[in-house]
Amino acid sequence: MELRVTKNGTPSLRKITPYVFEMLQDIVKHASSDHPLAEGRFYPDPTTSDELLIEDWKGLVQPELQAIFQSSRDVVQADLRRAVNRNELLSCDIPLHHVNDWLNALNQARLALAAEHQLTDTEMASDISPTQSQERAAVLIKMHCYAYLQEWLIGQTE
Amino acid sequence: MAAVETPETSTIEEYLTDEPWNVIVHNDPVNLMSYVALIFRRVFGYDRERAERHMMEVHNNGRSIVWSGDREKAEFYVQQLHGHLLLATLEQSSSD
Repeated sequence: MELRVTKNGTPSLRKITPYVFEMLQDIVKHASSDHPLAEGRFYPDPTTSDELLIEDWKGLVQPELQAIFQSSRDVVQADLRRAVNRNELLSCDIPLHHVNDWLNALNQARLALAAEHQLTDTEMASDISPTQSQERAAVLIKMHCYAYLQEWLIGQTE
Repeated sequence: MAAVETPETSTIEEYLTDEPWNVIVHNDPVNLMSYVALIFRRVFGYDRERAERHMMEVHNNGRSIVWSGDREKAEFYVQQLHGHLLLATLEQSSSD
């Protein structure tokens, strides 16, 4: 996959292989996780000391956050649906006003993966070891790819 | 009835004290440093230098007080930060 910026300043993912495109589609799948560990990370308590506030937060703020997260996932899914096939490789433009949604959805996906698979700080910070299981290595590859895309998109907002 | 009156009294006392409320961001190994700094700029309108200082404080010390002031606004900021998936809490200064 190539990361480009078009002449009109639109971030664009080019020459996406089917494997990488599947990985991009998985952003929404992982971000939609309802695993208890992922949910716990998506909706942390706002305080440690005020039970009343925590209760109110769950009833009032959490539904708003759910709507924000869902909206970001919808934007990413719609952009991916518009991907264009060019000689068996796909291209996907990310309109500048969608970049925040991509950043949000990528963050959701990475947080969900890390929480569900209980990835350690060391695992996330180091190279993928050949001693790791194939499943865990695949998760870490996704984490790194999503982080790379996130970094690039952050650069486009500057 | 007593169970209802106690929190009301406590809430009034909280509002009467002059101690500001702190918005605290906690370290999270998943969120990218550049993303955290970007969110500080977006949510609080901080310049790059201030945003990065807070980000480094979170990274090195595990937490940073990113804003202090009245409770209502502190709750608003925590909600904004949660909307960007940052780990944030509010605490009154005296309890810090």
